[in-house]
Amino acid sequence: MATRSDPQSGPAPVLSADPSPLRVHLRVVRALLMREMSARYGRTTGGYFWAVAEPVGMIMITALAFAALARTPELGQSFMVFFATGYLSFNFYRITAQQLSTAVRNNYALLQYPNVTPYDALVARLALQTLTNLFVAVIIMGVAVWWTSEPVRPDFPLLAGAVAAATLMAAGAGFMNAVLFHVFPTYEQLFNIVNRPLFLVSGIFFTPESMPSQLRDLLALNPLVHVISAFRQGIYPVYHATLSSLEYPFAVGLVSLFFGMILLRRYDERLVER
Amino acid sequence: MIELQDVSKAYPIKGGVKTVLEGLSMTIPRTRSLALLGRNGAGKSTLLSMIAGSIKPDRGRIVRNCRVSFPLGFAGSFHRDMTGAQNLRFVSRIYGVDAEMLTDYVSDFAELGPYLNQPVRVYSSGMKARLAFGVSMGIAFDTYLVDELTAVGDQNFRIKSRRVFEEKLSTSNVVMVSHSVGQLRDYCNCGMVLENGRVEVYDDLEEAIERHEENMRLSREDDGGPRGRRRRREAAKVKARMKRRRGARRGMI
Repeated sequence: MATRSDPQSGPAPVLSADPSPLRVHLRVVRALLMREMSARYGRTTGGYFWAVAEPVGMIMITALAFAALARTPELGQSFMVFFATGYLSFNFYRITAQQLSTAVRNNYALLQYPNVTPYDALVARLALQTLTNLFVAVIIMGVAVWWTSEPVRPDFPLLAGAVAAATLMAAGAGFMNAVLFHVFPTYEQLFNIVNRPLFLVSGIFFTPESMPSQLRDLLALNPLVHVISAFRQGIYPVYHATLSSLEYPFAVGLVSLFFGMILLRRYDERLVER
Repeated sequence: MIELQDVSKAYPIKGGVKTVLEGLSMTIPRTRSLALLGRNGAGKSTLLSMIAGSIKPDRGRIVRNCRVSFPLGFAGSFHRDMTGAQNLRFVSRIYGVDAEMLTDYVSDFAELGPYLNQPVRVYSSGMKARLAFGVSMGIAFDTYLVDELTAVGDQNFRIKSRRVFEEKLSTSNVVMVSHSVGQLRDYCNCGMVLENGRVEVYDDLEEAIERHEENMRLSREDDGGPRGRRRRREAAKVKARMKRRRGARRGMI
């Protein structure tokens, strides 16, 4: 049934007949991934390179600035490594959650294609951002450890656990926010008020062990404290964290992801209709 | 073939619910091209989006046994910073068609020349529309969805587009929303009239058009309905305001 439409033009490509929903999902996610990679940095030469280079540069400069204040870190010799371990593990949550929260809003036009769903947009961003975070983390940890010759012994299963817990939390928060920011715009402000200070109270700049016990009990409620402590324990051979039960952030992530999925189903089409 | 099974759709609006469809069951065979008629806001575009699949019905199911297009000439997805070629490759990927073939087809059809490899932000609106129409024509759908067919490009391009679209319709069918009765007569052979959540399907397009025009006439003459009442109330308000203003002016003199 290929139609020969124009003598000069070749035949129009024919669609494959009714593929399975999973195959459509996978190919749409792939298309969105490639689009995001070329579009987000489309105007700059270098393209996706900047997605990695930007945070690497940012963290390096921040770490150098803090290191110049000549503070001895609570762990190890180098403030740069101490800061990088905290900041990187935190970023697996923060940047991914932020990217997911706006995934539906930023891809609104694409949702007009019947086979692009909000779910596709979220999965594509989750995959791309997690991959980018991993690149950034490997580069920075590599450079920081080589530069400072800090003695480290990476415990890869523990590091993977911390990264997975942070990413799962990001997915949970991101899926929920993608819907809730849209349906209740006021919620976006409230979420930001709660989310911003996490940077200061999650233990990027300190270890929970250095805090008075009352404060430490309070910090234990923050799932990201456990993520960062577990990550540091996976880097520093001498560190035995007291607050590093990854079950907690995993549980928070799973529960919020579950609610996010429900919200996504419930408000599916209000997202498409703006 | 597209099958609507007991499809219902309503929207919450301020102070009530707007019903678009209530328990509609119908089949659109591959041989029929359907015109959707109804006044503004009757839900034609919503129904079209439901047939496309981007909006889901509240109740019921829509079964598509064929490849249904996105709305013809949809350009909203084009990313400004990506080139025309990159944008069309994206569409080819989400539909799983060969990117090279589609690029070849569109570069011939849309006559964009070197602009195909320029970012879309430098395109004129006509170029953007030509690219979008080319992408729609470049993927061989079974059913094309059209929400107000707008002419694109210069005279020659219009003639070519029309010829290509008509050739498409020898193997594909169309579901079309248009306020131009002439256009509907050109492309459709059956019709559907939407009015306040009530739907009437006509095998003969002319009957559907007749019914639609009857509805429009009735609504113009409509005095008793809530719409008429509201309109009269608005008109009275405007009149009173004008009168006050005139009075004020008179007072000044």
